[in-house]
Amino acid sequence: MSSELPPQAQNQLAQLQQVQQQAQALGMQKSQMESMQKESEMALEELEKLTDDAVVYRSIGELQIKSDKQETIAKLKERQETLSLRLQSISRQEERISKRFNQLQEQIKQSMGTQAQ
Amino acid sequence: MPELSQQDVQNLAMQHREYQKRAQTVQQQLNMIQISIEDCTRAIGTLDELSSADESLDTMFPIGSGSFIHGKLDKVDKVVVDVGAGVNVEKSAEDAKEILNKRKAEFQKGLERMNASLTQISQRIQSIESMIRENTPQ
Repeated sequence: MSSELPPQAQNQLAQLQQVQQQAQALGMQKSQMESMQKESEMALEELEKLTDDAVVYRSIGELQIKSDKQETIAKLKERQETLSLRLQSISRQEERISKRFNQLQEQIKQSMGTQAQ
Repeated sequence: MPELSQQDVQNLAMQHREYQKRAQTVQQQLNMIQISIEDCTRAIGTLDELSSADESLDTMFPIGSGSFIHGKLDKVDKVVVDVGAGVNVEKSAEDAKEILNKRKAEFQKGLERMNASLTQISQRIQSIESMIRENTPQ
């Protein structure tokens, strides 16, 4: 079917597919970040319930390092901040990609319209 | 029912493929949740069994490939539980069981949601199949 399209529209269609793939990859990254954020939130909730002298371990690679409640809470909050910044950046990229997608869609419609006339 | 054009049939076939792919993904997620539920059940069962032990226990630790080394279990009343995000917390056996039971209940809720979604997808697949069947000349 695409062989019947003018070269310009074919090119735009290829770009549209590429943009679509980028949007999918971003969507996956976003949901991964969101679930990491949710996980941190739940871990923080559990930590808040502990007494100050509770024994806490943090995973570092394959190792479990003994830590304490306050230090672990601070690390988790830092992690949440990093995740939130990364999520903001992904949302901005999503916006850009969505604009580009709509732009390409319009261009393709116009190219097809010109061909039909 | 109005007759389907060639284009409609092509669109339906495409939707059918998409739904099948989605059903496969949901099925994989269902299997993973099922494994996690079994994992929780096993851990809760182990804690239940160990709760009756009031002194150290002789045991064997797996070192892989069906091989074990002898060891002793002490402090069975303290359990280190993963609470997510790479954090593990020492808890009493009872508190650990509570966390594990809550986790298992969450997984079960997820399983129900996934099952409902799989049923919905299957219904859509079936309805597409029947639409195509009705429009296929005998």
